[in-house]
Amino acid sequence: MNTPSKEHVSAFVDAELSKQEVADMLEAMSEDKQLAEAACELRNLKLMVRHAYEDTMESKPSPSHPWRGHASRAIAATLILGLGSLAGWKIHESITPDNGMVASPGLPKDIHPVSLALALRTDRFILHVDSNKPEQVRSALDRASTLLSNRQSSRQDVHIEIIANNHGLDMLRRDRSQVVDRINQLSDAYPDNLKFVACGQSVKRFEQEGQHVKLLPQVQVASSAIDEIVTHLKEGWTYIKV
Amino acid sequence: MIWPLNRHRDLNRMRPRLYRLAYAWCHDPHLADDLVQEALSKAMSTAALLKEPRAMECWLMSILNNCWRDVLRSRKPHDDIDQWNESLESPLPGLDEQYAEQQLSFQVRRAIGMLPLAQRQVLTLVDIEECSYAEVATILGVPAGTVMSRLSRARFALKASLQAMRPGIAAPRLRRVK
Repeated sequence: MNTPSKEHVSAFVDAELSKQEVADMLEAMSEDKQLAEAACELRNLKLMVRHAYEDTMESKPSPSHPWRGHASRAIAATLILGLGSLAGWKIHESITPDNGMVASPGLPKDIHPVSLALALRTDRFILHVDSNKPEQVRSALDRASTLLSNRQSSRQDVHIEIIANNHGLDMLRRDRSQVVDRINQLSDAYPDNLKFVACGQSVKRFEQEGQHVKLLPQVQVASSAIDEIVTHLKEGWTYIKV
Repeated sequence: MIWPLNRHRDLNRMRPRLYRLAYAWCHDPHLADDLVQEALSKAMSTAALLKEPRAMECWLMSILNNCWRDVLRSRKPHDDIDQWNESLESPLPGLDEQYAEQQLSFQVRRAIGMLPLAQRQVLTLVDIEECSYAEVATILGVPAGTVMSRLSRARFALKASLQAMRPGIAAPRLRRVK
């Protein structure tokens, strides 16, 4: 494949490429570390843009403290970047079966797990879902299921947390989830190894928009997705953006 | 036209998101309030009936974009609005925001504010509102290819701005872990 254009790398990060284009891109990334790095940077940038305005409220800011409310998120985001520049983003290049799969058996080929800690735990995974696109939701559950069954069949301990924010929250909502049966089935099969967590900020935002958010009974609520992800990354968990 | 109550409610539910988007475009809380009010008023006075929620969201964002362009046009009636698309920057943060300049989210906002208007709109629609490229093309009335190129330029400009503001924000390095 020819070197993908900047526009294509951007489109890859936004899930705007066709299946074949995604496959080509992943193959190119497996051979070109700089390309993989560029995609990782853009993903990081996208996250920063999203969080920069996440708690923008309609009420007019007080003149003396116009930034009130942004501090905690800014600190969390800074932490990601600070740690990122200190420790370097670690990535299992699990694009081909002979590299990342060594570190993380059971991981599908097309994912790019990231960790921030120096001591990486390969038995802890946090899967991040931020969209209600059926393929993304299904993919998160498939990946969790694959990891759990593979590890358990080889008698290895593994803990997985699926965290949902923005429109990804739909999968954990009683009134909107299209995957209730699947979630119940997985929760029953892996009660101690699989956790479903909702982003408290997203819940708050939807409620401010007038929605009544009711979550499935097994769902726990974190203060925010970014806080939860950063906390786990610091502990060595492997982050997977689905 | 008299709108049914639930239509008013549906439109008003979009208010916080429209405000956030308007604020990301103009970086002026008062103007963002006015833009949202204007957009919702226009939406309520229009006879469009969109049952599919996502279509209604895109329609409202499109109205918001028209309101924003009207404001720009009224401020500079003799200029070509297409030229602004490539050049106009939003106001820089005021004095009272300088305390917060060290904070990343403000720097990200500032860097976004330095982007040309057209790039800023595409970036915020895709990254904040999670619009698809096709939706952005419809909202802004530009071809999908233009959305792709503006978005790509926006991201690379944003990255460069942030690196200039915070040299420590250097791009994450990848390292194989085995």
